[in-house]
Order: sequence, then C-alpha cells, then structure tokens
Amino acid sequence: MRPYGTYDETYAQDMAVCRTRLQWCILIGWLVLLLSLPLFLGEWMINFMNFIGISVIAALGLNILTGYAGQISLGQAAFIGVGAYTTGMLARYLLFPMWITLPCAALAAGLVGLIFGLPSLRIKGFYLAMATLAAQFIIPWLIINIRPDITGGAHSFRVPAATVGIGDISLATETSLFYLIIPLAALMTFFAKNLQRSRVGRAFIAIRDNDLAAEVMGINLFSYKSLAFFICSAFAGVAGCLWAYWMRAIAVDQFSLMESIWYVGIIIVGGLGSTSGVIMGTVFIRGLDRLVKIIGPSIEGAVPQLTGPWGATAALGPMVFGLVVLLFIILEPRGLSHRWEIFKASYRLWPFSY
Amino acid sequence: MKIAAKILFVGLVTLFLIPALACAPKAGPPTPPAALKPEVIRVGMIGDMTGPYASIVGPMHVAFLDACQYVNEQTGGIAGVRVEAVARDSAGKVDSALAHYMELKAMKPRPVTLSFYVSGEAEACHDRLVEDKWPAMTVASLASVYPRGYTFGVYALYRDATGAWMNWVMQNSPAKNKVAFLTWDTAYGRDIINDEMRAYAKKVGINIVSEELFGIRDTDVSTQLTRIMKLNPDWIYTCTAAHGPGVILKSMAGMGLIGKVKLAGEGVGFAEAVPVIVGDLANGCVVSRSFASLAETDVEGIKWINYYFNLNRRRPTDATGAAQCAFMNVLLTKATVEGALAAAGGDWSKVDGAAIKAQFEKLQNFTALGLTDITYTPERYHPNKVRIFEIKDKKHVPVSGWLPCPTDDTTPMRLR
Amino acid sequence: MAEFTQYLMNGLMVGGVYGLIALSIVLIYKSTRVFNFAVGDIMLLGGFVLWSLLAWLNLPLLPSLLFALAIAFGIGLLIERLALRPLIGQPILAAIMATLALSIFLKGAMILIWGTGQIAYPTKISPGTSMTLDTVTLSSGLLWAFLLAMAAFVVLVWFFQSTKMGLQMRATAEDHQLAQSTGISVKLVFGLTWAMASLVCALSGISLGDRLGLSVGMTPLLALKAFPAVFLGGLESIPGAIVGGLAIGILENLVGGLINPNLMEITPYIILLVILLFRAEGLFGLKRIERI
Repeated sequence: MRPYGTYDETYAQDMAVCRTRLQWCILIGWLVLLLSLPLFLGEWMINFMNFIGISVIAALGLNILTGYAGQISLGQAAFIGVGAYTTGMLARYLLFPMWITLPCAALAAGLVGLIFGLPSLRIKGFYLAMATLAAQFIIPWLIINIRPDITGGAHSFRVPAATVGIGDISLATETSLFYLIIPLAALMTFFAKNLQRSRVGRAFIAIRDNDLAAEVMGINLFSYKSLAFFICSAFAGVAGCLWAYWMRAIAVDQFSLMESIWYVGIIIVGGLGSTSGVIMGTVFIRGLDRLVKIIGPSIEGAVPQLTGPWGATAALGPMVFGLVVLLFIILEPRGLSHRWEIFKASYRLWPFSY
Repeated sequence: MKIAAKILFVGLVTLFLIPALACAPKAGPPTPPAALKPEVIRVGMIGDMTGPYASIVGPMHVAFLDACQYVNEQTGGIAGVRVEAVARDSAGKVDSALAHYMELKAMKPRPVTLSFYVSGEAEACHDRLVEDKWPAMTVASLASVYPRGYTFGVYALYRDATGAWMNWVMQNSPAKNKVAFLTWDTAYGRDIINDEMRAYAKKVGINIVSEELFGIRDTDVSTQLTRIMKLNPDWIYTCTAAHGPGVILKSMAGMGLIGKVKLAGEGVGFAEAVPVIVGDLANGCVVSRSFASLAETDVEGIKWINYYFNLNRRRPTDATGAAQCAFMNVLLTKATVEGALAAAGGDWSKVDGAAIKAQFEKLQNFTALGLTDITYTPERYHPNKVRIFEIKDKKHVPVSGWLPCPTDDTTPMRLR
Repeated sequence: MAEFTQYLMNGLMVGGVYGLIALSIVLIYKSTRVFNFAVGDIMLLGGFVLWSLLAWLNLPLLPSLLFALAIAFGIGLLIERLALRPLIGQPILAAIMATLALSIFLKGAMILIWGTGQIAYPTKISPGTSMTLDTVTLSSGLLWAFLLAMAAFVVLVWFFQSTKMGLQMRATAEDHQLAQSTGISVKLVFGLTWAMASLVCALSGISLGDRLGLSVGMTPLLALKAFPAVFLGGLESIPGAIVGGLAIGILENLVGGLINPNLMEITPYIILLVILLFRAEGLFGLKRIERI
C-alpha cells in the first residue's frame, strides 16, 4: 500500500524499499538513534541489544529459507554452532582477527548447510524438516566426538576476545561489541531485503508458492533450493561468529534443538516472509523471555508467602511467556508484520479505514 | 472482534515494552562501596530453575532462600547487616544467565558473591567475573573454576572425589579392583574420563576395564551393561545426577545384576534424590562426596536445614542434597565477608571483590556448621576432602572419615 | 550370539516406548496436519495426574489409572477447544507455533502445581518383575510399555479402518472443507483426535515415569527421541509410528551394543536420512501425487 500521492513512474521507483522522503528520514533517523544508544542505556540493555542483533541475523537467514523459499528448517541453531566453533578455533589457535574469521565462519556454516540441504532434491515439506533435524543432532555429536582435543568436546570452549588486527585493540566490552554487531545486523537486514526483490528472491518465492509450476517455468529447483540453504546457513554462520565473540565460552548445549525451534517460532510470530517482521518477532520473543524472568523474582520479593508450598517464582515465567505467545498467535496467526501492515493501511486510508 | 484484537495487540505491546524499559538499569558512574555500614548485603544466585536441570537447581534455590533466612534470624545477618537473597532463573540458557549476570552487576549494591549451579553458565561468566573482580562460587567442574580467577568450587572436583574413592577401595577391598565407568555423555559426566584419571588408577592399582557413555535422555542402559558385564567388573562407577543413577539401577535390576556388581558414584549427583526415585534398589551403593547427608541429623547444619524446610513448608521433592550446597554458599559468603571486614579493620569501603577473594584463598577447615570441611589455597580453588557414604535403608550413611583427595594427581597444576 | 538377542530385546522394549509417543504425534498429524510440539509436556501432565491420584488422594492403583486416563482425555479436549480451535483455517505453521507456546505454558503450570523436583510413583505401576528367558532378561516396566504399544496399535488400526469415526477422521485429514461438505463435524473430529492423542501420550508418560521418575526439566526432552521414529514410519501412518519406534529402538541398541555405544544418539538420525533418500515419505507414508 503506497502512501497517498506516490505514483511509480520508473522501474526503480517500483522496486524501491524507501519510496518517499519521509521514509528515508525515518530510516536514517532510526539508524542514528540505534548507533547512539550506548550513550544513554545501561549495560544490561546493551547486552540485550547485542543478543537481539545476533538473533536477528540468524532469524533473517531462516526467514530467507522458510519465508521466501518455503523450506522448513529445524537445524538453524546447529549451523550457528558451526559458525561459532569455526570462529572460536580460528581465533584461539590461529589468532585470526575478526575480519578473517567472520567470512570463514559464514563459508563453513554455509557449506555444512548446503550438505544437509542436499536431500531437498528428493524430499519436501515436513520430511525435509527432518533432514535439518538430523543436522541438529549430528552436528553437536560430531563436535563432541570427532577430535575433542581441538574442539573441547563436551566441555566449554574458551574464545578469546575479538581482535581487529591493528595493534592491541580487542572488542571485549558490551559496548564495543555493540558497534560490531548492530551495523552488521543492519547490513544483513539490507541484504535480506534486497534479496527479496532480486531475481534470486523472486525465484525463491515462486518455489514456495508452487514448486512444480516454478520448475515448469524454468527455475532449476535443486540449484535454487541449495542456494537458499547456503544463504540461510551463511547468515547463521555470521550469527555464530558474533555469538562466539560475545559469549566467550561456547558449548554445544548452547545450540540445542529448542533454540532451533524458537528461531522458527520467531519468524512465525514476526510474520513469514517479511524482513521487518523478523526484527519485530525477535524483539518480541526475546524481550518477553527477558521480561518474564524478572517478573517471578520481583513478585517473590514483594509477596514472599506465595513461594512457600507453591513454586511460584519459577513457574510464573514460563506460564506468562507461553500464555502471551499463545494468545498472540490465536489473535494474529499471520504474525506481527501482518498486523503492522494492517495498521499502516488503516493509517493511510483514514478516515476510510475499516 | 477486530477492535478487541487491536486493543489486545496494543495492550500486549505496551505490557512488555514499558516494564522492559523501566526494568533496564541505566548507565551511571560506578558508585564506590559505602564506607559506612551498608543497609543490606545481597547474595546472588543464577541457575536453571525451569529447564533441563530444574530438578537439581530448583531445590537449591529454595534452600538458598532458607539459608539467607537462617543467617538473618539466627546470626543477625553478616556483621550485623541484613542479608537479601537475589535469585535468577536461566532456564538452562547461557544467554539468559549472561543477561542476569549483567542485571545483578548493575544493582546497587551489587551482590557480594554470586553462586552458579550449572557448569556451562559458570564457564561462560568465568572471564567476566575476573574482569569485574566479583567472587563467585560454583559447582565443581574443572572448566568453571580453572584457570584460577575469581571462581571457587564449593565441593571437591568430580575427578578428585573419584580418585579418593579409588583410594578407599584399595584400602578396604583391594582384591575387588576392577571398575567400569558408566557415565553421561555430557561435560559433567565425562569429567572422570581423562588421562589423569587413568594414570592415577594405574598408580594405585585400580583396573579400569571399560568406559561407557549413555545419553542424558536414555531410559535404559541394558546395552551398555551387557557390554560391561562381559568384562566382569567388581564396581560400576558413575558421574551422573538425579535420574542418571536411577536409570542405571533400574536397568541393573531388570537384568538381575543387583548384588552381582556394586554401583558407586560421585556424591554430588548421586545424592538424596536417587533413593527417592528407585527406593530400595539404591541400598548398598557407595558414594564419594564432600558434604553431610540429610540423614546425619546430629550435624548442626542439617538441623537448621530441616528446621527451615519445615518452617517454610517446602515440598518433599525439595529434600535433595542440594540444600547442603546452597547453605554452604551462603555461609561461605558470610565467613569471607566478615573476614574481609575484620582484615580491613571495620572499614566497609575496603570490603570489595578483591578483598573477599583474598579471604577465600585463606580459608582453612571451614566447616559451615558441620556440613563440610573446606580449605582453599592460592593454588587450589576447590576443597580437597571427601567422605565415603553408603546407602543403607535409603539413607546416605558415612562409612569413612574425611579422606584427602589426590588432587595433585587427578587435577595437576597445569590444569589450574 | 546371546548378546545379539539381548540387544534385540532391549531395542524392542525401548522401541515400544518410542512407538507410543510417536503414535500420539502421528494421530494428531493424521487428522489435523499439525505437528504437536507439546507432546512431551502432555506426556508429563498425564504422569503427574496419576501421581497426584496415588499420592495425594491415596486411591488404589487400577481406579487411579482409569481416572487418570479419563482426565487425560478431557485435557486433550480442552486443549483443542481453547488453543487449536481458533486456528482452524489459519496457516499450519501458526498452529504449530501454538503447540510450542502451549508446551511452555504447561511447563509453567506444572511447576506451579508439582514443583521442579524429581517425583517418583509411590508404588510400582507395572506389575511383576523382570523375566529371564534363557540368557536374555526382559525388564518388566519396558515389557509392559511394549505390550501397551502393541495393544494401542491394534486398537487404533481397527479404529481407523473399520469404525465410522475413524473413517471420518481420515476424510478430514485429506481436506477439511470437503469433509465438512459431506456433513462431517470437523470440530468433533479434531476434539476427539486430540483427546485420543492425549490418552496415548499419558500412557507413555506413565510408563516413563514408572521407570525414570517424573521431572519438569527432563521428561519432556525424552519425547525428542520419538521424532525420528515418527518420520521413519511416515507422518500419517499408524503402523508406521509403531514400526518406526521399534526400528529405531532395535537399530539404536544393535549399533550401540555391537559397534560403539557412543553412536547410539545419532544412529536414529543417520538411518532416517538414509531411508528418506530412498523413500521420501517414510516407510509407510502416503505417497502424494502433486498437481499444479
């Protein structure tokens, strides 16, 4: 729904993401605000923003695979793990700076994702999700059992702080990592949005809508599906690299099935196939998670009688979280981005919105 | 319906946005510790209360609250200052643990010590604790405590406890020296499977015939047991917790092995919860651990644990060995803070993280109301003594005095 | 050779438990196309309900069992009515998300009522002790789970082939709207599906609880072991669920016993990948003919 009065006269205008000057102003203002956040927010909040930034990158990758190309993947956390371990090992053993470990992690994760996406030649739908589920179990097993002397096996693997390669500078504080993660997240968002309106993106969407018809039209299903897996896992690799530098001690149980499932949950709540939806979904789910962990102990502080025979402190968190997400899905099954589109449309059509 | 949906949607968004922003602590210059007596001393814990380790950490959490209540009511607090417990649930996720770490760090005053109950989380926060000069106590996995920083283990390392158990076996029944390891395929379970352990076993004469792993989600280990029994071991030793020994015992019972081979384990995991799950099958099992059992009702610490357990009407399922651990954490905090205050001549402004850590390093034979016996040194940040217990009539009964652990062999300096 | 039989028997027994869980997942998918992520928590809820009847109300074993199963049936109906009914006609992924949110909510509710500690049944649920045939021992708990799985399989296959309600369910699974147009009440079908699946879930929860004890942190994760079984057998096939469960159990134990127990965790997934490459819908799944 275009804002009132804007007509597309050229192809570039039709394809534009920011169509009006107002949209440009909002975008630039928003980026400036984002980058100046550390000036007035405390460390807990910056830590939260970093976490959101990393989750956004991973969720964007999944959105490309599931939202655009329509292939369900339950293994995103495992590919993030591949990126994290690649980064950790390169940084600790070979002392590579961040500029080198980042593309290496993306490439490594992308290749691994490609391998596990090969079954997409034969299987589709939920069964393909199983292949990724297999990845989710096989990859941690490989990390633990193949050469545990290098990977640390089941124990935590210590990752040194991110080095920039120039002098002694290392990114060890939350704020310095913030300035690494947020611009990177913004860049990846731009990539993802751009992908959507490119030839590759259109091929993905065609495959999602009806893959037989797409094949009939001349889209090589196998190569585009493999490409989708590669891109998704490369995004996960980038997220993994940042995760390793941020967490500084990585272990395979940080990349479990529940994480993968929640990434799928994030893009569903955000709205499949919508880039802004991914960001909204991430903020919503991660934020809600953080929030409910504060509720329980706060109530415990205020009303201690509640925690005696009833496990109220520990129980309230999950209950509220599950209830909120459940209510949200029931009320808006198409996700936050859909609700946002409706809001924008009603705003633009006012007073004729319905 | 549409209007209701819109209102609910906006409501949900505000519901979580506003408190989230309000709760987030703001930046500011770090306030120097008060030279005067503080109003409240906070003691912090971060653990998995709702995730995979909930059955282990949940009881620790309630005991932590009880312990703080004990310190306030029975001893007047720490150096006369009221103690406040601050507990956070990480739900098994390291990023949550990290976020809680940040949140607790930003509190004014911040908790004087932190207690971690999941090794993965302690390991992730290890380096940050050193940077922030924040003393912490944790469960005794190697990577949480070492390399030496600001983290102290509260009971003997799993590998050390195993070494001490081996000594006990060789002293009491040297003919029965064939041991098979059957343990979890996790960092915790694998802590006993390493070169140092094998070298030490060889040194004292224990013959490790087999090292088998099973998954934390396995319901049956008959396959592993079949493989193990081919080698005729006298003992099966395990480093698992809660239902881990339960699975082994039930599989052994199913195969008729109870009585043919004895099960032993490290005592932090193989604690009071196991006889609850498997009942009489646990009788005869031997456990190596460094704190008292709930059956030793003549120990003062146990008396207080039970007193507050009944006072606060805790559930029966919360009566696990975790309570001792939580009490030890709080009592250790009290001892070290009071020690630091005394060393600083009563000046609270000098009681900071480094001072408290120095007190930890000096701790000798700290008994925590009879619950344990802890001595730290500047080279060893974990206690070094265990007792051997046997489960008789579903209770853990001590069958030895305090035995030293061969820590220089099982955890040599190069690992610390 | 004796070990081989022992491993085979172990696998068969354990496979029974996997099969039960897989059955519950397949039941729901078969009728509603929703993959139920809350299966682990419903399983635990069933186990907890039985425990409460035994420990808090002190009822004798058999009435408690029947009562607990009836309650599980009711819980299934309730879940369907409150959480899934509003999502009929919406994208399937939304319904799956709903089951995910439901599992978290149930977990919180269970912590509130029963706490986070480990709970064991006050009495042994499965009667008898283990049997030994020749050199092979069969533990009683697992044997009962296996027999239960077989019984459930027989009952459900008969149900779906021969009863009117079963045929209605299969019709609804094909196409909701077509089914409605022939007069089938889709709401009733969904409700009954969830109720039956909850019942089967509760049975597996009780078997597992008998063996391992119940705990909010650990028990739901056990359901993950059944996922490969579901896909191996085919998402829409009842015999497939049981066969898949048994196959996974047997192969897991054979590989673990004969080759290396370290491989036990991933054997199911490798087998799954191999099978899927040759038969894309699982062993017994329905081959769908696609048209543009």
